[in-house]
Amino acid sequence: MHDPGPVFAALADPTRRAILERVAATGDATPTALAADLPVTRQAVAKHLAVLERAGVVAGARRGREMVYVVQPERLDAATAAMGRVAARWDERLDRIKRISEERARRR
Amino acid sequence: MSCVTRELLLEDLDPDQAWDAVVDMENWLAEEAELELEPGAEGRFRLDDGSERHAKVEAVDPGRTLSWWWWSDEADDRGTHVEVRLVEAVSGTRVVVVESGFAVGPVAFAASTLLHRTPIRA
Repeated sequence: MHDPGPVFAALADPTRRAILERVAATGDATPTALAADLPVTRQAVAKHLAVLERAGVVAGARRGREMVYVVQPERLDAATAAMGRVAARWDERLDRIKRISEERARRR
Repeated sequence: MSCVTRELLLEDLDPDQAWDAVVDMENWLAEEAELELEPGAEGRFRLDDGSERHAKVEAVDPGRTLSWWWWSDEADDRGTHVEVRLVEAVSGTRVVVVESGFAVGPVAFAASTLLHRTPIRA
């Protein structure tokens, strides 16, 4: 299983989240088209896309003179599943604290 | 997205009783907890799956909040921050756990506290 850390790091930035949302909405997107939609330059969009690509959440392919990006859902799904496991472990721990502390309170 | 929040009501317990349960960490959180509950104290946990985590206590406010950073020895583990908050409710005490920072770690945390403590000069 992949460490979800790089995915969360990539998504910690609001501009990158906005870029990812647009890539997901359009199906495929170029830095030029994304920059037209967002208050950032094409160069900045290209840098953000590179970070997202390194984290594995988008993949770029050359089309003519431009790069075209698509969402790679596997890494995002894996990251979501990892968070689900973290939540399940806390639920178990909280159940334990509830059982023990309420039992203790009844004995008082 | 990089934050997990869970909560549970401890019925008929006041925040002080809930606090006693929370700080008894070997009873609910870890097989072994070698950690002094003092801000800045460092120690370790051995969790129920046998894995070990280093920990550094951030805040200790009896009856209200306990928070710490923890991380494993794995090179790519940036660590996470855990806050256990106790909130008095009508029929008991609510325990709220927030584990966050799945993308940042103790280093980023240290940098942010430093920034907050240093007055910004123009």
